[in-house]
Amino acid sequence: MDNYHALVASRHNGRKTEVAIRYEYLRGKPSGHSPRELLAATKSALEIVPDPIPREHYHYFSGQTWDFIVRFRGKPLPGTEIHLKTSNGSRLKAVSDDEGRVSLRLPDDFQDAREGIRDRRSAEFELLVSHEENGHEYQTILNADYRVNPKLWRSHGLGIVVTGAGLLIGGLIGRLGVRNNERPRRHG
Amino acid sequence: MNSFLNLSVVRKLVQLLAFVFLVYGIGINSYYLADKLTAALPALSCAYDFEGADYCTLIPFQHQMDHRLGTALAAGGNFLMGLIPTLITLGTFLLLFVVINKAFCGWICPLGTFQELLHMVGQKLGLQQQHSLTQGTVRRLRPIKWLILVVLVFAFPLMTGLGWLNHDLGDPFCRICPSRILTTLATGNTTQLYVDTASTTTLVLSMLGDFLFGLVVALALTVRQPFCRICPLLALQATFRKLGLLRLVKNATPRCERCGLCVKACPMDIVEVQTEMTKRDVTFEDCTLCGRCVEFCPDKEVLQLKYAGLTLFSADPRYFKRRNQMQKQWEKSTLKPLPKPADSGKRKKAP
Repeated sequence: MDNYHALVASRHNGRKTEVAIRYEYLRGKPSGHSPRELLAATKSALEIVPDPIPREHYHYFSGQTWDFIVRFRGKPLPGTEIHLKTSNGSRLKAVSDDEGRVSLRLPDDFQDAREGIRDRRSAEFELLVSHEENGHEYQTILNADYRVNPKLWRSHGLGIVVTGAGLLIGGLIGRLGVRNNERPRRHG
Repeated sequence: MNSFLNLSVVRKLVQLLAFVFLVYGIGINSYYLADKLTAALPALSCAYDFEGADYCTLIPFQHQMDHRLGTALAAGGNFLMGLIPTLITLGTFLLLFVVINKAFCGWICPLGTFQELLHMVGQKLGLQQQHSLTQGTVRRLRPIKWLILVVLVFAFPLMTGLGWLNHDLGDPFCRICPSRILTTLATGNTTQLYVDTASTTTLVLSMLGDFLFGLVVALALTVRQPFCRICPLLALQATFRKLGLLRLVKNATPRCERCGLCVKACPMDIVEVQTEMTKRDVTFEDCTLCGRCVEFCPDKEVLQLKYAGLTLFSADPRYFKRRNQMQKQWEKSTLKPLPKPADSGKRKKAP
């Protein structure tokens, strides 16, 4: 169905509950449901919820900052350590604020990515959070893929220059048009 | 009539409200495309704007040509299944379009509003205005919107889906659309102003998009509605204009042949509004139903805006007189005095 879906895998092992969550965008008939509903729904006791998730037809890109909320039994969990690990070998650590929110900058860690060259590689990142409640340990992982940031082959400087050229030519055409309008015409 | 209130003022207010709603209206739904109002709006409100309330119908059309119809045909699959998403988008577009017809251009479109505001800025700065394009220029420009609609909105994305063109041509119109750059910049997002060196196709399209945006901004200061004249959405609307409930209606009189004030008032320079003497429905393909021709028609009930047969607004000599005075006052108040044209004594000034 055309929309985001949450894939949840869980394992209960005595005093420990482990959960892995992944949001996948699938194409097909529109589901008619907002991704907000999916994110709001409680999918496990301990959760890392993207806020927001990259919207339809968009992706996580290296070097971008994204927010996540840590929830326990549907309520924000402040002061919790979150560990980020990428398949390219980067490691990061952050702590959730009073609202359970954490902002993370995805590492720019694609080897040999070069400016001006499109790079279609993607890699995986994983967020891990742990919490203990009444002697029971909860551990949840959110994983997703991220791609090389297209900023590498998209030049804003050149964009401004080309727009400037358009402004200049547009100004000249407008000026010429005014002059032509001023000339007496025999027809029309 | 209040000294400041006229149809153009009402329209400007509606345009500004629509601009704010469509460009910054994320509060009424959400960031996600699935939450947008219609996803098939008959106006250039861009999906690349992350804060907008709705987006233009040309985006799903290109997407469906590429990822649905083209892909289904390439795989030898069910043609009807590939076509159904396009039919749903077209149906949604038509449901909206029937309500106010081409007034989506003249009253709702954010890019149209932006161009009108720029034209007002140009006028107030005292830049010399090109009141009307020559009929030759108008005739040469008219086919371009059809070409863009057929080639960039439907053919290239379809051929991409069929595997005949590279994937960078899956949404070629969006890549050159000035509304993409305008609406994103309006929200403080500069990511859409770029030159993309990923491939020759992206390089050409991104440069064309940036150049066109600059061109439209500069031209709009002195020329009325420069991009509207080649907008593929205007062409798509023209295809279905007979279905719309709002119409421009004319009751021609012999005086029409000598007058021509309606054409001078028309931001799209549609000469047929004056020359058409037999047809009642004069909602021509370039008409944006802005109503300026009705405002500046000096003869009673010759031009009318009608909704499902009911008269909404009608030409009236008394209204015309007051409106004309207001226009003259408006044009007089500039930051820099307008230079006098060399032959100003010989030519009628456009309203």
